[in-house]
Amino acid sequence: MSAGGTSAENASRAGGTGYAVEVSGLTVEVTGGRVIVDGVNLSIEPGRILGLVGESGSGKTTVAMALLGYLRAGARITAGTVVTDGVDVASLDAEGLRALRGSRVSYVPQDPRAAFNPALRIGDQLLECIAAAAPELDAQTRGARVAEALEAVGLPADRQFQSRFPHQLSGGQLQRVGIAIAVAPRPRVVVWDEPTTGLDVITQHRILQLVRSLCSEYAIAGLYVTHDLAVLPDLADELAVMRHGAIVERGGADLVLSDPQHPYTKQLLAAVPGFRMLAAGEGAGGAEAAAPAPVLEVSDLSASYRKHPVLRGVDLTVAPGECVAIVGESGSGKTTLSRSLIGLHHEYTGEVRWRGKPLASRAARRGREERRQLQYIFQSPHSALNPRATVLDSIVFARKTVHSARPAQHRAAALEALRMVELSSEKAELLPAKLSGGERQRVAIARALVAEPELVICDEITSALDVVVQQRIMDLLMQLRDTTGVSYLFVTHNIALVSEIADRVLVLKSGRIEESGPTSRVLRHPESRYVQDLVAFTPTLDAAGGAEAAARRTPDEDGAVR
Amino acid sequence: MTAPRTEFVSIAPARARRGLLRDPLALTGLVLVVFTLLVAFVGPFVAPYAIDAAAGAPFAPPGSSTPLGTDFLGQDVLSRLLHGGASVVWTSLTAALIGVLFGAVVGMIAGFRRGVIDEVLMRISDVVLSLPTIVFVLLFVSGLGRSLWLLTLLIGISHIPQVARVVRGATVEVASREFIEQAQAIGAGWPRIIVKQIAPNIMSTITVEFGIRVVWSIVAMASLSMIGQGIAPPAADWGLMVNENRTGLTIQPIAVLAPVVLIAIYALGTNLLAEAFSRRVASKEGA
Repeated sequence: MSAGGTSAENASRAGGTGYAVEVSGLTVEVTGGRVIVDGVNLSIEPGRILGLVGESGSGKTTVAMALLGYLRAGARITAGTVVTDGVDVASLDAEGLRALRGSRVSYVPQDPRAAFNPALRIGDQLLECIAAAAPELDAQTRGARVAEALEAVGLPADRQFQSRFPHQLSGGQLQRVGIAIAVAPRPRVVVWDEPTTGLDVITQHRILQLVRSLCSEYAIAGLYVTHDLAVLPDLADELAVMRHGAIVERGGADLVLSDPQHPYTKQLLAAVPGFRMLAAGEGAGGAEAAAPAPVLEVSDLSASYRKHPVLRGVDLTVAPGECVAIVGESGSGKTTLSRSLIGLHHEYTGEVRWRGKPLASRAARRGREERRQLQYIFQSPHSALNPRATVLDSIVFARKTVHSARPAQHRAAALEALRMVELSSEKAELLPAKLSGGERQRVAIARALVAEPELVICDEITSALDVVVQQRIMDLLMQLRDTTGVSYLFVTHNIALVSEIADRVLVLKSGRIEESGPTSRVLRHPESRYVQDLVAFTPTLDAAGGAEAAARRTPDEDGAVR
Repeated sequence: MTAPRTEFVSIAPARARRGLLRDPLALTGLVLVVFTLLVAFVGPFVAPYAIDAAAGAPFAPPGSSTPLGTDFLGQDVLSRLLHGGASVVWTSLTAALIGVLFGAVVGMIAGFRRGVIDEVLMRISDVVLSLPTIVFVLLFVSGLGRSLWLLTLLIGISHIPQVARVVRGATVEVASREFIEQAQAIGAGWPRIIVKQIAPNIMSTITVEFGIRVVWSIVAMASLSMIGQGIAPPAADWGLMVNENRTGLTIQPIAVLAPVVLIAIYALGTNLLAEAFSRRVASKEGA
């Protein structure tokens, strides 16, 4: 049979509609009758990518997993159908689902580190997946498929590379292997579950290009699940925005992004940080003009982690009321830097001076005033709050540690801090489990504010939050700076966010300062190649900005093997 | 992405709110414990005979005046059962409480402070652990004489290292979470962190340990009575009764089986209750 026969067969398998995926009227309920997906319709043609956007809890993951015929425990489909590659997944038994998954529909998970068996060599893991998806192939053909898949994702296919273990690869390389596993069985549909979340912008850009080219080259219908609208313009053909389990807007990606109709889509788009450059002289210039003595001075700080050097000779100052951003990808040492400053990491040399006086390396050896003036906000609001303490108790605990007063005064201060972060006092008696991620982060901020700090170190505090929530939290922090005069040391990997809030920026790479200076200068006229790349590959909704600059460059290798 | 997590969170508290009495296992546990307590504490007042009164021939089968028959000395089994519960309940609860209280404190300190303190505390535990409970108790009883409270105290002490190990493990896990680091960064002292931040988060582990320790205390006390080192006759005690009457097991099995059944009911009840409590606590911790 010729190629014509194959495509006819494909067409009949797809029910003659030409769609690789057709979801109609999908409704999913959890035990207790709550509807988490409400009448969702979507369809994807082979070779095209649908971007499914929504914040956590919007039901986007539930819809995506339904394409694989998977529902989490307690959830069930109460109406509608999911037809993947011409098969109604609801009609399949366990054996049928097993045959469907991994061969005709495959999945690329969010965190490649968690998705690999750490004890298996990556070549073996690939081989295993191909063997499961296509048991009819002989060993030699399987080996050839593995090599082909690795080449398709831009990785070396030689034996030496295949015999590496997952921990010997960088995050970007590992995600490429994850993608190789997904595409190796030549599936018709691939579900991409935020595959670039944990990656730095440069690697993210390369992965997105790879996703795009694989989908068109192998005629794969892609469902790309994300909460980050900024990655979609160059990637998705179509876009669906989900909220509270329903699709609120759907259409061509360009159209939705340039001319959103639904108010929620508009809100989402407005919340994505863009390069809103401060005019030269604004921000940092203002601080320099007044030239107050810096509150924090760090000179020649070198830190190591179990004898492994992490930071090398970092210098840094923060002036009163200033917002200094520390930017770097994972592994650059930015978290070690902030933990050293707050007294949670002790293995360092060099000097940290607070208001002119040297600061002890351990929090426990610092004076109470110093512990009060310096506060820290953690990345994840989920683990930063005691799950067994009410909101009020957590804040009162922090206040008692650094202030002496009568219990009633502590309580009053705590309630005032809650008011400052715009949380209603009814939430004060709740346990963290009853709060949303954004609300928890507000509690964490209130817990820092109640100490009446002078410098707050924020460690990636918005990375676990959705863009809309992120924007509100940032507005709140900036507003608090105006009212209280607090300084911020803002640790992040989000360059677009930095451009909106920071007076000065410090770019860390492999433990060294790559570049530093006023935000507008560093981001507009970066001197080093690395910062130029970082700025260029930052996804933005502004098509003229990042994407174009990015297109000029040929991406080189992913992060090197450590 | 954290979508599934946030959705589950809203379900868990609802389950916890329903209360212990709606949980069939907890209810069963409660009924069994209340039954044991009634037998143990109301029993002495309604018992037809005194504990050492002769009620008939030795090992007589159940009759009209002795509904459960008589024991090896011809004493009424029912009366001795009704008198013999209080000591079992008191000693087991007290010993478990001593073991769990001190064990939890040792475990939390070792697990949170780590380093030298951890090493020292855990090596001391290892020494105590290396002796079986019975040997440990006999070691001291032989020197200090035999009294019910000394026995209880010794059994309680023998629990400490075991509880400490379990609690230490749970503490190490909790101590690595960010809210503990936050408390350390603002300079909260370790006793405050242990009391306010760690203890509430390992309550489910501690509750389960308590249930287990009650049962072990019953077993230890009964075993000591079995080998004649526990409660001295003529006192009535369920464990002692098993020992006294085992020679007549084939003639008058009720004299052995009845105390065994009561001990089993008590042990089962305490464990079901402890588990239900711990599940309730855990459903709040999980988030």
